[in-house]
Amino acid sequence: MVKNEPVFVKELKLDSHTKNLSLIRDEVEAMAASCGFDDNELYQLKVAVSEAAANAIEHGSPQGEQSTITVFIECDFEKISIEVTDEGVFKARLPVTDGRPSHRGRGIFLMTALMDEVNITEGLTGTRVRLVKVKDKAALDVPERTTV
Amino acid sequence: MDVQIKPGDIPIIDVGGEIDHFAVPELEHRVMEFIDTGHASIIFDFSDVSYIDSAGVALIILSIQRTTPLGGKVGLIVIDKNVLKILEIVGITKLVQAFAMYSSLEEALADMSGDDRG
Repeated sequence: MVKNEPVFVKELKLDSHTKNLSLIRDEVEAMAASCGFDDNELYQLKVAVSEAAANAIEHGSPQGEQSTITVFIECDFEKISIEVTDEGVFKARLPVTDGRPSHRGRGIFLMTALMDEVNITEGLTGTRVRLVKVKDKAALDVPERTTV
Repeated sequence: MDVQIKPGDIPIIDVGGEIDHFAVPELEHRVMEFIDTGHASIIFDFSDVSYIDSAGVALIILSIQRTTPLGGKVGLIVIDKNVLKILEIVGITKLVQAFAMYSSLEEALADMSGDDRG
């Protein structure tokens, strides 16, 4: 692989509202597509980041819609990492049930199922979820794209 | 997300677009209204759904939890392979007791109209 490939970086700072989820998905999809991820991987990335952001909005926003969530995206032609940072504490986010299986709470499970790495870091001022996806190994073996 | 609801013995909830945490609360409210007014079985027609995440999964599971005690069934029509993959990952496709998946509305209606006890 070529070592000096460009790195794409983008940061989004958005109001904490679920109406922004589709925008976040679109931004991640566009960045990942620029870095050559395939359709299957793009979909997985969209779901994972949407879950992380939805978690931040629903559980990590003490000021409600006045809170801010930050999405930092960085990718090259081998991998993409996405960090979703909020203003809340992570502990309270596990689904609360009354003894029967909850119909909710599958977001973290989906993130871990779809990504190669999921790290959750609790800080004093907020929680950061870091998602990493390495491009499909088979795709990495595809010859370099031709340029005109 | 576009929603068209076709009332009937088995209400058909026809959804298109993206089913995410933004779209689900309104959709859930409308679906639960049907179940609460005595419709034991419902059909989710997700033929035109291009995206689903855990919020949509939660809606399906909540619907199953609500209709099962009524002796009903939840039918789900999914075509998109990415949507299907998410449902498989969370294991929802294995819930065969009060839930069935179809590849077309005709198939769902033929099957569910036959054994609807609601």
